[in-house]
Amino acid sequence: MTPQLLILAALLTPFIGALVALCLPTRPKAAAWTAVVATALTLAASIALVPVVADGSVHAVHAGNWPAPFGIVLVADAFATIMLVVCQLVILASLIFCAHTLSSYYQRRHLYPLILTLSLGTNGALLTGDLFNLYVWFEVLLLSSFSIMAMIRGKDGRAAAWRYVVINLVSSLLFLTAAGLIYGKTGTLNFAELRLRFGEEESSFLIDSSAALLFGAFGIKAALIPLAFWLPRAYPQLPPAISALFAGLLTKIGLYAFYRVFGMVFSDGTSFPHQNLLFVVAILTMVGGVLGAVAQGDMRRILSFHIISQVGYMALALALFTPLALTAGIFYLAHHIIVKANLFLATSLVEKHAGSSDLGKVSGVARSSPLIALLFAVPALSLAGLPPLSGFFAKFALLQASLAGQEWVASAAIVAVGLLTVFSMLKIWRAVFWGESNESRPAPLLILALTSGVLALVAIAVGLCTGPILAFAEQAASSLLDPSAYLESVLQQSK
Amino acid sequence: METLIAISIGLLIASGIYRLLGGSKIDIVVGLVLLSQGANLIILASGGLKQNAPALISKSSRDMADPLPQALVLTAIVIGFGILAFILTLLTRSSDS
Repeated sequence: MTPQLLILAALLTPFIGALVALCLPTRPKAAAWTAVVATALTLAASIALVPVVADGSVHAVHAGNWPAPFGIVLVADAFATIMLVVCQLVILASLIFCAHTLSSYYQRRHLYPLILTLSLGTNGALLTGDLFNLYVWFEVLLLSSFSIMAMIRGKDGRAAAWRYVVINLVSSLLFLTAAGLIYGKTGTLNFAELRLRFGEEESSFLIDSSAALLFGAFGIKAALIPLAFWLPRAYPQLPPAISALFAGLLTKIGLYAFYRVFGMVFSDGTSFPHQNLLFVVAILTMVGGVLGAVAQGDMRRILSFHIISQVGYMALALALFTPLALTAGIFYLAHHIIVKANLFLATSLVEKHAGSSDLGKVSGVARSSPLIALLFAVPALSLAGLPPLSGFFAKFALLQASLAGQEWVASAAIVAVGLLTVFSMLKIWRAVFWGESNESRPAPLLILALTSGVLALVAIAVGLCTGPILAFAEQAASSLLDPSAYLESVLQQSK
Repeated sequence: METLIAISIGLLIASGIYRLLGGSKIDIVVGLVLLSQGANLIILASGGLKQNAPALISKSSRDMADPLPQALVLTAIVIGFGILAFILTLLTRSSDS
């Protein structure tokens, strides 16, 4: 298949799957199977894109054959492709967990079509080549997540859903306003064309205000402190099988937008001091998130705060803005999506096994099920950054980049936050996995253990053969810093 | 014309933020609606406002309006409407139970 067909397949497969699953409201099993098949096909299509873009080439689909700055473009470069692969992997794992762990209340409420539209929105946001379409795909993604969020029952759950919806709508409005202002100033919303214009024109008032608005909009979506406090209220309310999906995808798509728009499109075309601002905010996010995590007493809540803290690392990589830092950031993004989702899946296993994820109520899981303990330990140690797991190389590359830039505060923060992450993982380990347990507990389902095991194996494999993956991330980073291949591929027809 | 639109954008956004911070849930919904109308007007105005100019090239008049902001604002209005319907449903559901 040509790369163009693969790009279209990444959008059409989840869309068609969602339509089919929507026709099966009374048969959740069939809907789940549809979703699994559609996601597996999408995963296959995105994996098939990897060798195509690995050499730095960029492939664009011009919808309706309209030439680039006027029509809608979908673009696959190394960065978008690596994100596609890990996102689809996580969606697949989460679907399997949803099908086996959620009560019939969730199963009968169009959960699977919604997960597929979430997947559609994610893929669209990763592949789109212009700012307004990025907004539209964000809305597709958000509306699906809103509807899933609205399924939560109970007073706390409803309050959390309400807060989540309102803050995300505010962020979307900021985004929309920014897009309008950018169009008013430059007359285009196409990433490639914008990058060219910013290269030649002087920056101006309207661009700076848009950059500030976009910073706020993406900051809310990516959960950067001080815009992150909606997250630890909302995510713990969801069953872990679904929060694995949210934790893996939503904030990371916000970060992807940060990388794409501030890293590639704006680059240095605006006088808005986004790098300095991001630097401060990133360190605040790293430290604030991990301190929040240390203070919690429930696995779901601890892991939710860790999302914030880890987002800080990836934002810091963008703030440093050197080739090495961006490589580290992209590697970090890919590693983090898998590991974070896997931690939530392990939490789901613990809840199925022991009935709760409260640190005060559960103990002795390592004795009653060593398998679950192992499945938690691998992603937990990887998140904390212990060698030879994927997290170690992500943190190590970032530390190297910040030392090379002589950013001592950032380097100290990277190390200190890493230690505190180990500490809070040990806290979970000591409370939940150590100790005695007398009650008899059900063994984990084989298929679930296998799913979580595959994600853990990916984390180990990434750690063991870091070379090629870092090289791929480097390719992605260099295409952000020097997007000449991107510009050529998108704008070729308009010459 | 531009001045008028600019003033109404300012009014919409200011009153939107005021209602958004009002506290009660219905205040928040009204605030979000006002804000989204403000954002829509910004997009519409971003292409430049022209009177009596069609959004296509005609033989008789040389003037034409930029069609793209109109297409964008149409999309934004539709999305805004869908979200309004969703958030109102969420509101009634939470006040029911």
